[in-house]
Amino acid sequence: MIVTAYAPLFPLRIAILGARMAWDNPIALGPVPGDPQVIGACTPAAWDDGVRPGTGVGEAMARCAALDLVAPDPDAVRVAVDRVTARLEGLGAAVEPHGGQMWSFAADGLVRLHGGLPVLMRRTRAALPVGCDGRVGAAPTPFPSREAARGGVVVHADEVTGFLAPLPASRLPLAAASHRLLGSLGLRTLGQVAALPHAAVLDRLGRDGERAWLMARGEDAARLSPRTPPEPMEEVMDFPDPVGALPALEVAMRMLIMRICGRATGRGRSVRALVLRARTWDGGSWTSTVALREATADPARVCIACTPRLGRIGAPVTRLASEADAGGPPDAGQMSLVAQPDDERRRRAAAAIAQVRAAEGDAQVLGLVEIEPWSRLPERRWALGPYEA
Amino acid sequence: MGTRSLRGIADPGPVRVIASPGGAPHAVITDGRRRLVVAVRDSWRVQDRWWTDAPVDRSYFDVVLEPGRPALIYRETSGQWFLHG
Repeated sequence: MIVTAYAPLFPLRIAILGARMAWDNPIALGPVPGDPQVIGACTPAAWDDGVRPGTGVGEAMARCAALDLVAPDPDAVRVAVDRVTARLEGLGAAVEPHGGQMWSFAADGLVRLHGGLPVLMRRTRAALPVGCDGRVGAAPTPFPSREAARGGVVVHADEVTGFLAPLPASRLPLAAASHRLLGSLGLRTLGQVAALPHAAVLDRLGRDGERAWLMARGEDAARLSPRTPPEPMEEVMDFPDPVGALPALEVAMRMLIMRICGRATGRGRSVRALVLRARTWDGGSWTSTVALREATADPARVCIACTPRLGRIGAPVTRLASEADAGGPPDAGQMSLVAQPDDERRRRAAAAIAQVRAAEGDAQVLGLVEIEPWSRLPERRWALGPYEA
Repeated sequence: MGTRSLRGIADPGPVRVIASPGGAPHAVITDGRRRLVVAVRDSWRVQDRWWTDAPVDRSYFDVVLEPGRPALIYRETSGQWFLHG
């Protein structure tokens, strides 16, 4: 049995909580900077006024004059999702988070441990945040389990087909073009999709369509991919004044990455992926995940992958953070066969600086960092930061 | 988790300045000593960050103090003088 916990509109609830607004009002998630100007998820009050996710901002405001837009807070959502995942893992489950508002896990080994499926589901429900309209469902395979969670029901093996049949076909994980094709063929429910001949589905919708067809029949053989609980390393830098200058942010990011790589090397590991997070001066946040082509503990190579992402931050930053898990192999990053002429000099300088740091502390070795060199206020042009060798 | 922050340089600090009736600095008292202004190399006005809660309105003087020490001082609209470190 697969148990799924569901917190509907979780990212919207987090954003509304952060903005200290009331759920009963017509509110929608605003557009993400750099993305098309359409709104995201919206509250039931906004829905009643005709506002729908994907509507243009202008059209949404025209439909509902009282509509408030809240800035998406992907950073807070990620933290909240991680917290719920960790709570569920505390029950002994190997959890797969799904779409930022669902968490699935196999209950087979846990039912006896917790004294029955109802008790396990009650404890799962208790792991969700209070007031998030959390629901828990269970079914033999992942897709019916996720659908059961929407209604908060348990679907047994012999009930799956009947349970799925009346559900809308839009629930199938298909590309938009395939959904349009289903709509144009007049196929509105999972039952209608399930009734199609196998060969016809394969012909018109390909392998993805075949998988969706199996899901609609309750025969999906997909397995969960639970996450491996990470050992995160996080480095944070606070700015006394909001920083919008890209060069200053790059220097700050380089320092954070050096610390992360240093800690990974200290653990005898390398970094596979990195999450950059920024808290902006208007209270919003920005987050970007950088997956490296190969695991490395070389700060220069990690910086090359991360630097272009900083240009996407849409507002001055008050806090920059970098998080990674040291999941890579220990000997990653050995790329160079021939030593460069300056390597020895750099290595000696780095060793000397490391000794000064060890003897006198980090604050005794500082470097000049450009903040806003064009500023008319001298104190805002430069700052001192930890020296990077 | 490690937290680090940048340390400011050239942060301005309050200073006592004896000004002429026209507003130009005549002498600066630093380290308990009165140093005459030998020359005013340049002066300019900075109005900045007016869109924030802490707008900036400064009259800057790039001066040379005796015996030849350069200094950057400014006066705020409140009349308080500051010396950039």
